[in-house]
Amino acid sequence: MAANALEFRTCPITGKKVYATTQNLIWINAVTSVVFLLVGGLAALLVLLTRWPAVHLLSADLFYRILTLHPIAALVAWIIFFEVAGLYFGCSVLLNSRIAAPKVAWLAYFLMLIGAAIVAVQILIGNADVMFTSYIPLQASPLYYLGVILFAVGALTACGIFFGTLAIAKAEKTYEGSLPLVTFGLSAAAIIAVFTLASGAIIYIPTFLWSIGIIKNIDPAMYRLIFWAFGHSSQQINVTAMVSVWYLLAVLTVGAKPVNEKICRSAFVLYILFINMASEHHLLTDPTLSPAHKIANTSYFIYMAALASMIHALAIPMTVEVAQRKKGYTKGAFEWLTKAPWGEPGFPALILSLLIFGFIGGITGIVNGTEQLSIKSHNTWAMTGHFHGTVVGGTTLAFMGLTYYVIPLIFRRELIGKKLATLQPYIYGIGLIIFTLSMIASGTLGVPRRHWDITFADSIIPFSFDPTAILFVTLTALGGLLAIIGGAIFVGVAVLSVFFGRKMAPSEAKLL
Amino acid sequence: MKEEGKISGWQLLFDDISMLFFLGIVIPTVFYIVWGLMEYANAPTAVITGP
Amino acid sequence: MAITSPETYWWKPADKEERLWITIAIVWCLILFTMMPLWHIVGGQNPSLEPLKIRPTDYQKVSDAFIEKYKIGEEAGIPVVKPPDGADVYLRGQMWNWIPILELKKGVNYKFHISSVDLMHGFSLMPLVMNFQIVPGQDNILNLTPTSSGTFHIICNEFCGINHHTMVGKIIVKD
Repeated sequence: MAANALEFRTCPITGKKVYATTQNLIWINAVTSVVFLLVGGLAALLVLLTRWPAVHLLSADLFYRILTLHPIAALVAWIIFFEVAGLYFGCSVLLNSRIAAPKVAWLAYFLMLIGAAIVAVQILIGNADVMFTSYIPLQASPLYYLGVILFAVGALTACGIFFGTLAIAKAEKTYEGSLPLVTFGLSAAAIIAVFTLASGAIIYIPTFLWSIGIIKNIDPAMYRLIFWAFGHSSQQINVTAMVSVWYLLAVLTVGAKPVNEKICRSAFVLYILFINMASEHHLLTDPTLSPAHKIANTSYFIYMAALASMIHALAIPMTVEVAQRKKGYTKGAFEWLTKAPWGEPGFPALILSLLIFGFIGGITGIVNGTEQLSIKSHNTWAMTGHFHGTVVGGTTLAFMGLTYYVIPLIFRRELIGKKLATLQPYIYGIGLIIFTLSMIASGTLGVPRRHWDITFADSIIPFSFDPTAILFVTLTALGGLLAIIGGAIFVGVAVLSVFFGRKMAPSEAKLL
Repeated sequence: MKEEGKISGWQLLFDDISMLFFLGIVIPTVFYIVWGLMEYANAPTAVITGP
Repeated sequence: MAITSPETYWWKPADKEERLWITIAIVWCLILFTMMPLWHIVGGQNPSLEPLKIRPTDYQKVSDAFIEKYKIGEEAGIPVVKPPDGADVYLRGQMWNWIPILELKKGVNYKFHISSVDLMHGFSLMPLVMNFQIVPGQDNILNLTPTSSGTFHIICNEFCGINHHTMVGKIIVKD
């Protein structure tokens, strides 16, 4: 924290200037994110063991409490802290620039930390059994909403630091011409983040005032509309940051160069313009909203954001192929792929993240995002399966892969447990494939999300699911357990390496 | 290929982060939030006249 | 490299393969987009198309009146209601029941008004797996025609408090 604002070292691998202030900020945000991943992962384990009918671990009140905590820790805190670290990396390290207002960046960090801590404590002591969505008129304690607001303001400030650093880098001419593609992608993520966090402020400030009695009424339907401009768009930040990380991983693992900058950048611009309209996906079976509003928004005006993902889906494997062929892997159609660095954690993390995101998360997203098909899947586990495909199989796996490079490059520590690290993306990825597919299958049979007891043992009117549904729920639990083992390996390797890994010499140029 | 010294207008637009920022905020705000809120605000309310 | 600035002039035409892929993607997007409004016209099942707000207290009154008028019995403390053919049907979500139990006739169209008098609920008709968001203050109006007879259940799939998982309703369809 006390580092001189102009003190830097030169990275022996990329030749980039790494300012000490930036490095400290990246360190604290990344380490905090992994701590929250641990909390979120433990919550995931408890939720999973309760939803598995054969185990049914927690009581109903504890289950709903932990189910509220799980997304706050794993979806919000882990991912956004990591993204803030990523933003600082993208604007400062990649542009060779000092970071704007490092003290304010630290303030942003503490706002986010205090906010997240207040929210987590409020949930754990039972003051906020409201689920991630906290739909009005269900009410949590005022402190819960205050915590969310503090976190959002902190994250918004971090986006401000990012844009400020872009301006400094441009003014001080630390780079020439256009932004590097990864920084451009992260700028797209930051723009999406500003819309998201501003929507969060618009809805959580009145909700906070309502919880302390100053505002009497908030319309539940309007709350839902604006909440999802925050809740779903925050996943769009993840998508965009994840795609940027894919390009970064392609550089770090095979030294890939974008084949056509125009195409890659156009896809990011389509994200900026249209992806936030996808919040509508949550409102498709709601009353009152017109089909015109639903169709215009869920199609993001003619599926423009889906087109962007299709473009990235071509551009990323293409950059990898071109880079591999340049290295001489030209035999047949697929030598470039078979001779890829599958034994380095970053590469399988990139490929599995791409496949799970695209084929499981992306396709189900488009399917569920049609009004009439949403009737079949709304609020069922099919939805939960969809977003575990995008956010866990996609974003989290990509971020995990990147962490294995951040530790030696930015933190200058050698990885402890490289063999485990290499296996980890496979374990996590395969676990998630089983988990998400079984979850979607159960959802298709009607298994609801956010439900303590799908045997309905305490209901006045008896009801039971088809045994097939229970079978898929059990498979979901098994796949989830495998993923949790993969997640635990990641947290173990990351934490041990960051704190106990061998310190690397300043000139030591080694990726893994 | 572009001739030397003349950068495409599209390239200049894509380099203009503040313009992209403006569009990225305005489009979802208008089409999702404002339009949606107007539909809720303008929907008729059921009038109940005794059972 | 994606981590360094690109060359000065990077706005260049795409390759043949890239153009082919993007064309395929755009065509696919257009097909999907055309399908969206088409479902409304060709498809028989749409979410609520009639916008209507209703105050929860008002909704309580109307649905109570509906139950009183057409009640034919009681099951486990919940009224069983048999509305006449083509009637407006009020199905109320409240913590933690769907009220009333409905007895309907196969092949007859009913205009459902589903709403909540307290929190959000999730209407999930089993085993058909048809789901609608039930929002207090909004009337979710659906024209439903049962096409097969038997017993159907409604579970709640939106969290509505500690006993959310016990919320089950019933619709009996007779020939």
